[in-house]
Amino acid sequence: MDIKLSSDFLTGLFFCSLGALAIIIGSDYPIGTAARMGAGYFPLMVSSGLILLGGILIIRSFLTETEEIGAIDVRPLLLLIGSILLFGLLIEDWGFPVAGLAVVIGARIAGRHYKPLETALLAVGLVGFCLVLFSYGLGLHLPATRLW
Amino acid sequence: MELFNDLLLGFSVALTPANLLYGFLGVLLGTVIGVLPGLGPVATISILLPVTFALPAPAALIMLAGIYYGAQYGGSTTAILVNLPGESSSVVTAIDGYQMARKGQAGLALATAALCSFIAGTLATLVIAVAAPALAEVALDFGPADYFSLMLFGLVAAVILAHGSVVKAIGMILVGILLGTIGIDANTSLERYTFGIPAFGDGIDFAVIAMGMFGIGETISNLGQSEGGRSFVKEVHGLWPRWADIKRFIKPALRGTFLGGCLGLLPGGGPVLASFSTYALEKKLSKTPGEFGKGAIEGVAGPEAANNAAAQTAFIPMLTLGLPSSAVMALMIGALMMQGLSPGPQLMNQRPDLFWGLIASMWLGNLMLVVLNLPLVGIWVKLLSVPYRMLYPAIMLFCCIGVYSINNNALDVMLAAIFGGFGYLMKRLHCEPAPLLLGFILGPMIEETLRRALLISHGDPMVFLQRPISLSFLVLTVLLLVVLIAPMIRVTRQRAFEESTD
Repeated sequence: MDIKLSSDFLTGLFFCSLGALAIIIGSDYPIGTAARMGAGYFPLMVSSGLILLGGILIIRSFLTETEEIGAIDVRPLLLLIGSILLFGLLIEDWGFPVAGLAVVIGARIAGRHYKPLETALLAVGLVGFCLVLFSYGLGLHLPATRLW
Repeated sequence: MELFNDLLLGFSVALTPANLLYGFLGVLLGTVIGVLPGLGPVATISILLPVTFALPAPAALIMLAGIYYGAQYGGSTTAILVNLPGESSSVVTAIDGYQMARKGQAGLALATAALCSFIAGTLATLVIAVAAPALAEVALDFGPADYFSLMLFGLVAAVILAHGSVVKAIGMILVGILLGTIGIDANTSLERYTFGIPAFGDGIDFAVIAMGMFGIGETISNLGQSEGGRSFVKEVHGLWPRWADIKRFIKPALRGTFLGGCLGLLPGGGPVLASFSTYALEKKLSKTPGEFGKGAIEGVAGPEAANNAAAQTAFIPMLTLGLPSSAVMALMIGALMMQGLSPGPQLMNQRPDLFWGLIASMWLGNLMLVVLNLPLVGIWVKLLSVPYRMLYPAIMLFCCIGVYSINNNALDVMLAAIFGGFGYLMKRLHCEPAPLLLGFILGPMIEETLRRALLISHGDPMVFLQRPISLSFLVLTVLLLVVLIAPMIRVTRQRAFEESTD
């Protein structure tokens, strides 16, 4: 079957699945009546609306030519997201300096023209600067890295 | 006389050394980040938002307003010097501003932008001081049904903000509303969509979504584009305009202020519409329309005044009705809620210090922009010459620290990362993140007012049509929808935005 991978089609699919997922997860929430709404009433309304809009988009994608999705830059997407996730994983057990170095180096690798020495200097400089500014300057609580 | 006393109260709040310092810091930080190409006011405010959470409410709002003006002005600087508008409202400034800069008039263009923004800011602040209390008075009579219809109207109007497809924009609003239902339901104390994670009980922090979708998502988009040879104007001299220049730009600035001030009041109108329509107006009024696009000072003065005036008057519906007319105002409402305040007509009576302090600091913020930015223009130029590959890792680090410091919760950082990826992918699908944020902020209020309205009417939906205020908002909403869907207008709207998305 010829499914045009138009942005309308994919967006519609996404809206429909999100709406359906919300309805399935929320199926235990009591609906109640219009006068006394339960926790499930409003989410059900919104999810149904989302499925309706998704349906319109899917139908429209078969009827008219729509914009194609542009190229997705996988490298910055995965590496940048990955390095921020890494920051989240490291910050509590390993402390801010380690997590900070990880996110700067990871983010730098995500871009083009990666140079190891420049990146190392940038990472150390930035983390040092933030440590002074946020930890000592603004008194923000950032977990410390213990070297033992 | 009462106005005078109120303003005096405002200045007494805004002029305390601490608040003055926070305002100054806000303007400075806002400009520093706003100058960076590719980061508009929304991204700048999202990134800097957590810095303000620890402050007392007036200081936090004053600082945020400073960040907003700074970011907006920083965007104009980039537009003039690099021809790279950081946000859609300075797209128009780039047309003639960059041409002026190439002709060696960079200093004049920057000074014109700053002075016209200041003129517009001063007048618009006065308008807020007069109009906001009156409007708040009216809004006190609003019942839940009226609020519901008002917010529906606000959301539909916000669709104008989104580029491209109306259906997708409404869909993004619904996704935002759905995200807003995460957490413990206030009425029945039942957990919704928390997946058993205790941290989700209070719902997702809006700063996490804002920073993820705007800060991180935009950076991914920027990395995908080639850095390429950006040619920018490094020579800035002749900063002070001559008398002849002032005579040329004063009238466009005043016209821009008026038009921008009116358009800023409309939900969804905002700075973008203001700057585009003022540019068109000035071109029509000009005796030498051929000069436009080749470095006409009127083409910088009018739109800059207009977008600043609109940026200011957008505070009126936000402060008096609790209705955000743009993503920036949604962020402001979020910041207010973080401080435990609910924006709306009661705000002015409950916290007059905050209300009038903010208004006074708006004017001070504009003054600081002129005092700060013109002498420091050399530094902004230097900042522009720092390559992007050195800047964005720093921005990512600030984002991480910012998100983490909201609750000292590592989960927030990971959520922000996920929203960053989500925001980027949705952008590739031509879905804008701004409507989602608006939906997320307004969602809980919509649910609350809907429930209360129907509880009062014993479940009868006709209540929305019986109350005159509610009915008028619903009629306006339907009219807007008709206008949006009418094909002819859709084409022109697309054309207007095509220029801005390049």
